[in-house]
Amino acid sequence: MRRRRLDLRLWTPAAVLALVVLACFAGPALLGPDGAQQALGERLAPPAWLAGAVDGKPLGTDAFGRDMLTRTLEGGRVSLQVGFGAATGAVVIGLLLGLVAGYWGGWWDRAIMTVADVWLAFPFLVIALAAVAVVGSDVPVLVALLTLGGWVLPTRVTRTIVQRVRSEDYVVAAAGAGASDLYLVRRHVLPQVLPANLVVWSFTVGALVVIEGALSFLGLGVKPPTPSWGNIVSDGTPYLETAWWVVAWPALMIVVTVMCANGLGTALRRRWQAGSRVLEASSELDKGVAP
Amino acid sequence: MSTTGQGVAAAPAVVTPPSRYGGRRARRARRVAGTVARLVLTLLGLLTLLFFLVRLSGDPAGVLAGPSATPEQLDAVRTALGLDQPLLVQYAQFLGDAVRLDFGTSVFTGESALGTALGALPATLLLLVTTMVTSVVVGVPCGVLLDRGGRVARAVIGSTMTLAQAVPTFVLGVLLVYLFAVRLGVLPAFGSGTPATLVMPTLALAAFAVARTARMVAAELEQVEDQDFLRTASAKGASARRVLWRHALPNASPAVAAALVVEMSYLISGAVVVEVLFAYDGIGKELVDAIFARDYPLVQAAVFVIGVFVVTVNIVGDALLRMLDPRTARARA
Amino acid sequence: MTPALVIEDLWVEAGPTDDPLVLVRGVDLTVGAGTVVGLVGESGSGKTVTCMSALGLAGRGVRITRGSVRAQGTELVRADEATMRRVRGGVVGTVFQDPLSSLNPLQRIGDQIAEALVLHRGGRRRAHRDRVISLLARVGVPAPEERVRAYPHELSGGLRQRVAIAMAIANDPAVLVADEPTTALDVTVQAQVLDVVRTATRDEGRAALIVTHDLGLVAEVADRVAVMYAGQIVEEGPVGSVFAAPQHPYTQGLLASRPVLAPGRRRLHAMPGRPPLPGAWPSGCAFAARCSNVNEACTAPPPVHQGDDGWARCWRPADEGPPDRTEAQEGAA
Repeated sequence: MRRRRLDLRLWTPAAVLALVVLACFAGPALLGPDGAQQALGERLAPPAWLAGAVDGKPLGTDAFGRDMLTRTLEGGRVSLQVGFGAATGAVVIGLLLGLVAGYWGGWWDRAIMTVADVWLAFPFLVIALAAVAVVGSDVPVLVALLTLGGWVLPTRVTRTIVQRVRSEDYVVAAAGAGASDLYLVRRHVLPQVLPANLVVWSFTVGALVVIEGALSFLGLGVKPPTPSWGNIVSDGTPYLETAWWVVAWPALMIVVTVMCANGLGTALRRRWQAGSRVLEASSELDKGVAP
Repeated sequence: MSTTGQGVAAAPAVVTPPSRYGGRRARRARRVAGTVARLVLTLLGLLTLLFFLVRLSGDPAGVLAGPSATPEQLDAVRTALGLDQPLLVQYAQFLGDAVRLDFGTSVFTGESALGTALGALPATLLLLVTTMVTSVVVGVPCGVLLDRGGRVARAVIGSTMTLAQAVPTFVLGVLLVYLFAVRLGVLPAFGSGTPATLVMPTLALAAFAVARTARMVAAELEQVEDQDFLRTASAKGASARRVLWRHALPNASPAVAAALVVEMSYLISGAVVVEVLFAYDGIGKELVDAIFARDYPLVQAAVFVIGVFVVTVNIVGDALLRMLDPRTARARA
Repeated sequence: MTPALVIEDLWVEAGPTDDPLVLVRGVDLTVGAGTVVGLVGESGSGKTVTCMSALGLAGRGVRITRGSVRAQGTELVRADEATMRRVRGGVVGTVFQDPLSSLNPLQRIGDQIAEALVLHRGGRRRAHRDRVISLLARVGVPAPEERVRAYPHELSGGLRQRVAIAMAIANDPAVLVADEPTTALDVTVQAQVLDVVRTATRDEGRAALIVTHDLGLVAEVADRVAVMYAGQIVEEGPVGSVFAAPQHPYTQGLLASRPVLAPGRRRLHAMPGRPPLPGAWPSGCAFAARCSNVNEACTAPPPVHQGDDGWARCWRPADEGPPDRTEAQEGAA
């Protein structure tokens, strides 16, 4: 008997995440262009509930008088673009490679897994830093770069699942009955692989948002004036003592986003693990891609 | 039939495979060869990456000579790089230089790039060691509590760990600076060399590692808990505490140790951020400074040193793990 | 003479306290000093739960709700931790079913046996080395001085179970409780380990409670047998008389079900139906649904029918002996 009770542990993070995305992409437009303008007369104004606040800028202003709410949301747009975009790219690549490695095995499998092992041995951030130093850090470049940071996990997970499914009796039987590879993949492999990759995707979004934040914070990611949560934090650090809000809001947004991404991933994994033993690859999921 | 008084009939001797020693030695040789191959492959990959990275920029000579190079210097670099030669020759030359540990001269300091990079390594090593120690000393008890503590303890620790895993290292670093340096003034906000300067960087780095370790310990304990041999220990008369510390945890530790070894890779990434934030003179800060200064020989050297370090840790870690779990040490025939 | 192990009116249940699942109801079992009692029954009859909960080893969620368990006079139900620890291993030694999972994979077997000694006699493991070696010799482990350093996965199943037995008798306990000691072993090895069990119990004059579904084991080693069905003991008595003249229809069925190695074609006798699972026990005789001798009286719980030396829980025990085996086999539908 199915209980149709809403699984809050899954839908709460999902809803919050959706809200964040909505706010960051639609918010600045709704708030109007004033927020993004510099207003040097209103520099470092505190949030609305403190003395000295400025009208219309409820979360305070930064060192250039820009509204923190607008700025944080705009920064979110960039950070989320990079995070979601790279995570999606990584999972797509991982799916394909994992399929090839797991299904056709043999030389392909060895080659792909060797590359994966070697790749995983490196601290990704270091490579990313070196790469950014050379190729620059526009948003599309960053997305591509961070995709490279996350492809190994979905590849491994997919490969494990594909191998397991392929050797299941009912698949072998179907193949014996004349089913084509394409049919088998579509009908039997994909339904098992996609849920697991959704879980991986969730965790990867969190991890890559953090990496983008770290890169931008170091000054090697998204470069000003384009805002991103990381560089807003870095801009605000010198004023920490007197204007904590410049750091607080973007930092909070990052933490909330990551917590929701992780929470969503955990909830998805729990839900699907109940039915499928195939997500035992989840021990891999615990590794993540931090910092 | 057994004769009373003489005890039970002895079990038949287990058949020993005739090639026992040959087999084991051959297996070990194969494994060592495999590890060496992986090491070489990884370093090769790293070097190849570095090689192509510089050439991606379109003007490798300009990149390597630095922004303030004179035309003569540029030409010198160009010939040194052999940019007119076919790519393969350049590659071979690059590899040859790398093997001879020649990564050129740092544009900034004018000294050997590799030397400069290596000089910054010990400080980072110190930071990493303190972080690992912290993550074990704090993480293991937290993990134990997570697994079998009271409901309150589990809730508190669980949410703390979740938070620690969600807060990025740089955010935590900024928070720590705010709290201890700005507000309380008890710790220096930046610098290196004294124990005080080590505290905040370690805390910032260790947070994630502690959380991961605790979760791993809890997960492993949960798995181990169902194992029958724990019941056997109880049946012998062991106390619950003894069963935990002498039987359950040691069996959980290979997996945790393995995770810690993998952790090292992530810790280095975190160390880079932390070192920059706290102006701690380790190789991470060296790397970032070099990037800003467009000192590419130093960038290459630093990345290489870091890569070698990580690979070494992985190999040593694998060896240690082999010792920890006798089942992997003596692979079944 | 104090009986070595007395279980009196034992009730065990599991699950939530407001809706519990009764697993054992009113079991009375006495193991006299120097006697070996075999506890037989199918899976789900409650035989393992009885023994494990008597020693407090039944795991989380399983609890004794009524009754008493006394080992050498010491009450175990609701005893404190210290008493339990003293009794476990010291007064009652336990052997479990699967020696691969019931031995600690990361400890050498010598250390595991030594731990049993350390827990009850103090001292360090090394000091007990001689005794460990002599114990191993006693259970028939060849080359014990070398084997002492072996890990469980390096030994065969039969050797591992011998080690488990050595560990259980290390402190010369008055009682040995063995839960399916030969079930997990290959058939060829079962006979050898059976020998060891016999030596460790009968030949050494140790009281034993052996849980098994193997009637052959019971016949070879036990003095008395108790048959369990649906959480109760339905028949108890000396092995000889119970096997020759079983009183309870279930016992009769069990004995009749054994394949006979004799010329002539026969059908295997099988009892129709399956034993009821805990939670689905009928209010009357639990065996009524499968009994060929059933009548209206059987809807009420049957009384204990005392024999000379033994009893059966039945309204209509067969005083005239088991049905003719050939008849039963040929007559089976």
